[in-house]
Amino acid sequence: MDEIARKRHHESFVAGIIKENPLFVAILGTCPALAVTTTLEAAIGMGVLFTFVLLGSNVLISALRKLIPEEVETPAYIVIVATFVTIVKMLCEAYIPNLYSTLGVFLALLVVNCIVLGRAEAFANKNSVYDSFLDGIGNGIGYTLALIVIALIREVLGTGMLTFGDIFTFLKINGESVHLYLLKGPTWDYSIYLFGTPAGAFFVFGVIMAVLAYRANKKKDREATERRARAFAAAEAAKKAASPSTAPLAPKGGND
Amino acid sequence: MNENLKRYFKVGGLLCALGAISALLITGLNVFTAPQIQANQQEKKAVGLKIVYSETVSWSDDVTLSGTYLTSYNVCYDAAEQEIGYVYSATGSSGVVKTTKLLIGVSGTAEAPELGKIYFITNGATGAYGVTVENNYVDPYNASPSDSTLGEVKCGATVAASLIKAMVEEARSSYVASKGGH
Repeated sequence: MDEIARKRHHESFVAGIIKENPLFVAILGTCPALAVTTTLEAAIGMGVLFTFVLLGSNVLISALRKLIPEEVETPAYIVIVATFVTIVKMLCEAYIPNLYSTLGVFLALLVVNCIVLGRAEAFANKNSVYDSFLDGIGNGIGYTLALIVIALIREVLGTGMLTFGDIFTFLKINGESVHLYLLKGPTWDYSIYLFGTPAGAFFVFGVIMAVLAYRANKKKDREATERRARAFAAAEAAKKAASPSTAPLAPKGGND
Repeated sequence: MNENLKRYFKVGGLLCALGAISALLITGLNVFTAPQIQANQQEKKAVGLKIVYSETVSWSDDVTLSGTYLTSYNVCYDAAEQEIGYVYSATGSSGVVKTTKLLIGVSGTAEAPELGKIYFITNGATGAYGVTVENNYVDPYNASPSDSTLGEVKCGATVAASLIKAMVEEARSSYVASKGGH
């Protein structure tokens, strides 16, 4: 029993990170994912705030799941999610104002984010508080990682460098933001402006989805080939077992 | 009591309780965050005033306005306590561009007002549009504030740039009026 529970907890946590990644597998929450991934710092900020909202709402909805009547589930969930989003918004505006102005309306739009409401409907209202907690963290990490991948590609290709300190001011050195030049130098600049625009975001997202689809198809093909080989081997073995032996029979009885 | 009625009360009561707890939490948090948010805005404004007119050393208190976009202005002074110009605070939104807060510098006389730099307190154009309007419209304008750079609204974020242009034009009209012009 303990083993089963441990396995379920592990599954709740891990599923959202890769196997059921909300952005790359379920293709949910694409709007903020494309809008706020112009810089790595903004993506990390959005990911952390999203994780907090998802975690809080998942835990509270799971704790109240037996109290909330079925007919008012959605309005009740929206009130709970909106409360967490408002708390996050106020804290962000007060203590990380640069992140607040960078995320703009997309922070407030977390209230109607389909991942948050989707996890509430699909998981939190059917599972224990602990499982919902793990699911919230897993999906939060999965979404954050997905945002980081897109932002890393877009910032490097779009600006030719990575910048730290513009949003998280504690990363500044001597009051200046830190620039890590990768595709840009004093006399050369290989950055491509397109990647900083919404069109570039769609392009990067599309390429990542294509790579993931290619890998998934390749895995499916390999599994199908292995299945066919196993079926063929089994059929051969069965045929062999069913056919009469070709070995000569030993003569019966003695000499006449 | 009718069973249905009992259920309606239960559902209504639960939603009311959720709403009340939510409101209490938010109100409680607002008590702590509101002063910090206000301090951030003031700090940003002080930085902005010095960016609009780099020689600014001191400035007047806010003078409230009630224009389409303009909310107040401050008079900036240099080290010799000479007036440098007015810095207007403007707030507005337009279509997809959410609440934008700007500081706009205007100086000179009523007959020949001179446009100063502009500074974003809040850029309402989010994501890539926010970056585009800053790079392609605000930066060229700030490099050389004039009617020609102000008119270059087709920058890749036209709605945001047009909003800024309207704000700057209102600031200039207000300046001219306050200096006794028409």
